[in-house]
Amino acid sequence: MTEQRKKLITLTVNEEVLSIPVESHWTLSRVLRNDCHHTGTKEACGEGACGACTVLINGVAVPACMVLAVEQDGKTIETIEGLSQNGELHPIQEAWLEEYGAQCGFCSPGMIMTTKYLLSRNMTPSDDEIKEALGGNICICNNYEHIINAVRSAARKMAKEQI
Amino acid sequence: MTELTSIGKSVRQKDGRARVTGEARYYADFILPGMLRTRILRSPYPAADILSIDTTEAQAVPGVHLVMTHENYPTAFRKSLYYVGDLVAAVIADDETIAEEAMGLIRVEYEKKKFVASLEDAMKEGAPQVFEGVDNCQDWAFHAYLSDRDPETGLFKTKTPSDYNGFGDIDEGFEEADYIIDQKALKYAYCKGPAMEPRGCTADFDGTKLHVYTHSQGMHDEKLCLAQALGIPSSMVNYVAPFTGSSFGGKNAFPLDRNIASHYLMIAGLACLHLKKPVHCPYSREEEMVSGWSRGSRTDVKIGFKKDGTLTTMDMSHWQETGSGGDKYPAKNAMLATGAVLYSRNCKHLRGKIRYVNTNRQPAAGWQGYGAPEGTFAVETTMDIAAYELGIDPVELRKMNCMRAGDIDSGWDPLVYKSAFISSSGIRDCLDAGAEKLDWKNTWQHPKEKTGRIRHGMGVAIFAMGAGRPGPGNSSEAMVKIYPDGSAALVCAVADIGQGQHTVQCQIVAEVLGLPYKKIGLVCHDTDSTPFATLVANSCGTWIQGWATFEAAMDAKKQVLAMAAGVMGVAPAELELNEKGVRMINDPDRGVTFAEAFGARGHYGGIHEVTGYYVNNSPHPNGLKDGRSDQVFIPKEKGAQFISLDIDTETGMIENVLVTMAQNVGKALNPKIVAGQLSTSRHGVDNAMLGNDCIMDKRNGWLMTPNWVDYRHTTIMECDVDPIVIEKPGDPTHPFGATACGEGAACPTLAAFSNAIYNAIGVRLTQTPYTPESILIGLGKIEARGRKK
Ligand code: FES
Ligand code: FES
Repeated sequence: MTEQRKKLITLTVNEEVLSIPVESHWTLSRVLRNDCHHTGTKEACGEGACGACTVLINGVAVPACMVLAVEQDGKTIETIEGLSQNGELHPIQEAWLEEYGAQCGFCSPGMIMTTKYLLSRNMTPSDDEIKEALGGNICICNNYEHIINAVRSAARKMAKEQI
Repeated sequence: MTELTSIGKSVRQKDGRARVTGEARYYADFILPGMLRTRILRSPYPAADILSIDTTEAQAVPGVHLVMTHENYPTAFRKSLYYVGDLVAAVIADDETIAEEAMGLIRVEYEKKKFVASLEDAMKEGAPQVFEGVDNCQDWAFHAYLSDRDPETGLFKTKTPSDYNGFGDIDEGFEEADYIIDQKALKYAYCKGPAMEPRGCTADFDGTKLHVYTHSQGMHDEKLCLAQALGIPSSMVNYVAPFTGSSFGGKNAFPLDRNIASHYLMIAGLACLHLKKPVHCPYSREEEMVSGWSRGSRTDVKIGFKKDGTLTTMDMSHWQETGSGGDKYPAKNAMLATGAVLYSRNCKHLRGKIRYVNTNRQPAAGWQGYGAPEGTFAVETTMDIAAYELGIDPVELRKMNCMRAGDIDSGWDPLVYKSAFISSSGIRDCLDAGAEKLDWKNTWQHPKEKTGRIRHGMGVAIFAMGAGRPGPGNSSEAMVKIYPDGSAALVCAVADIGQGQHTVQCQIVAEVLGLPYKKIGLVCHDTDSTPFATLVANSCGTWIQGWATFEAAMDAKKQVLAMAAGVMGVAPAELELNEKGVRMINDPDRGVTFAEAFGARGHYGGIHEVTGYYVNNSPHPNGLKDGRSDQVFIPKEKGAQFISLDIDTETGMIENVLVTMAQNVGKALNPKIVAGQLSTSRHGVDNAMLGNDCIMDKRNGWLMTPNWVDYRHTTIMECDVDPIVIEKPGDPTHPFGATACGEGAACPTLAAFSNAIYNAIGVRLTQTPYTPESILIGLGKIEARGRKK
């Protein structure tokens, strides 16, 4: 497509400010994957039904396949790649490893980002609250018991870090 | 055996860190410079011939590089179409938008043909034939299952090929029986095998070699097929498949057969070789949904019993829908639930009549035990009916009759093995463990005793599943390298499709070498760098690859011990390996470091690595000699599943579902991984409770449920799974006494569900899925109407 059809937008992706020419119909997940080279965000359904592509937009968990990139101009995006700092895993990632939260791992980036959003609002979620928060993230490997354990353990780790 | 250090521990996943950081590269994450994109034009008709196809306008769109049809690529595309979604053309362009626009400009003239939309329609007299000149209904040509009894033990001893598809005399069997249960038309809905990551690939030609980035269940098998299909030497193809976003059998690509929906490989491969540019060909979720499905069967089961509940006769008649071709294997798996395997203990007379039926639906693909869940659903529902009629507790009836260690396994082809025996069972322990957990003895009530709007029910079913496919062509190889710094690498091609094989195989290496698990590296991501490994199917990884890995590590260890023995001037038998190097067994303070054992390293001396190697001509240790082994022991996947649920008799809703999955895994090599495998029993719950059914519009052959909104999958909210991992170590068929685990979890769910529903409300549902509507119809609260089956 010709360059004129594209609009230049600015996104802050994992603390890096990026100017990206996008076409009006491109989704955020497409732009993150193809143009920002952040392929950690996965696409499994492309229609908001599975949560694999979940990222945080201005701190809120959103399926990136369901929003247009042009509409995110000026916003702050966090993806799975931004979670670990200087090679140190985020406590949620640690918990995922410990509790075997990922089988094939395809749902994991989305699950982990949703968990980050949950724990940013509620540091001590009950099992029901965990289930409700992750209800939109499908794991076809059906690893849900391990995922609940991982969320619980992440909450504990993060509470400790805060003290 | 000395204490285990890695085996039996829930060590972290070998490649787990990559999975949780987003660094793990699945095929679509390889975004190559200058990569072209593909869109596929698919058939809008369930049966049609292409009369003409005009691609001139499409080809003229700027940015379009290639339009592929049956005219220029007759090996990949065909003129006759067999289902809605069948391959018509492909456009390769600079980006998806251009490809999509061009696709709309392809002009196709079709001649519509008559089609068949269901198993029943396909078998009607004079029905249109899906494939010209081929009967829609085919007998499964697998003549097996004939055995004689050992006069001393009373157990079956040998089997020989038979046209009868069974053993004993079925008529005589039913004459002898005190009770006969004859259940007809148990129907398992047409379902979609799931995989989180949609299928696809990227092909890249580097001047000498075609690199294919994709997912895989068995990259060497798939590569050989692809090379053959493309007409190039196998040595020219490198299959790259580091991570696979689940598979469950459906990603087993077979590009040679156009009725198996792995067309993306041919499209990308041919286009790439032609254009000499990287070509990406992905399936969307909708394309995924129309490309390959599973289940869909009708089964009649007739079982004869003695007064005391001993099962003596079984007659099973099974029709498995395979759509327009695809995988025909499931038909055979259905037999595993019968007297051939699961009830081999007492069953004297058996007949298993199995057919597969073509229709103009999408071609069938593998999915977690395919065939076995259908057969188990039918047999285990009928067993439950029998339990109520005989007045025997459903758990007890199964305990009396289920397979035990030493029983014959007639599920394998006798042309390969004269006799196969079950090496360990433990089903009875699984039944006890589950019953105890649910307090079955005290809480189980006959449905007649239940009142009130909400009724609680409990049901049980048992299963036996694959665990490797013994026979030629199912070999696996492994290489283990030990380095002078005391680390080691496993080089093998076993696929990790989420079941944890990479982790478990590294645990085996660590254990054999006495090294910490952390020091074991893994080379497994492409065909060029790895030796052959068989397809991960039938839950064979722990078994077939496990032996190869074990023996390769033993071989490498032996070499290092010999080297150190030379340096130290002692016998190798006096030495052992551990983290520090090579030590005297009786005097651990005496020894040499790895570097010392290897000699001085450098350009002009010393050794850089020691390589151990092994080919497992499965299954070890009963390798095939003259193509046929006298005796082989099969570990089997086996266990019991309980479903506990509540039914609202006013709305027909099923609530509070708890799945208790008990499985004997021999030795759990990694308990957390094993528990995760048992959690997949939710797949059955999808089909049972969420109403999963791939609904086809019979007027035009379109799939009405081609997405995850209309075709739902269990979420974290839907039900709970309580896995009970039973360990009865010592299965002689594995170096660490482990048996397989993975596919079995999906087998018993539908029967256990049907049985629990009956136990709650006294209504026997013999057709899946179990919708609120079907429950209310069963209760007589509403009348049947609507969808015809
Ligand atoms: S890919 Fe975005 S929700 Fe499924
Ligand atoms: S781990 Fe495979 S989809 Fe969740």
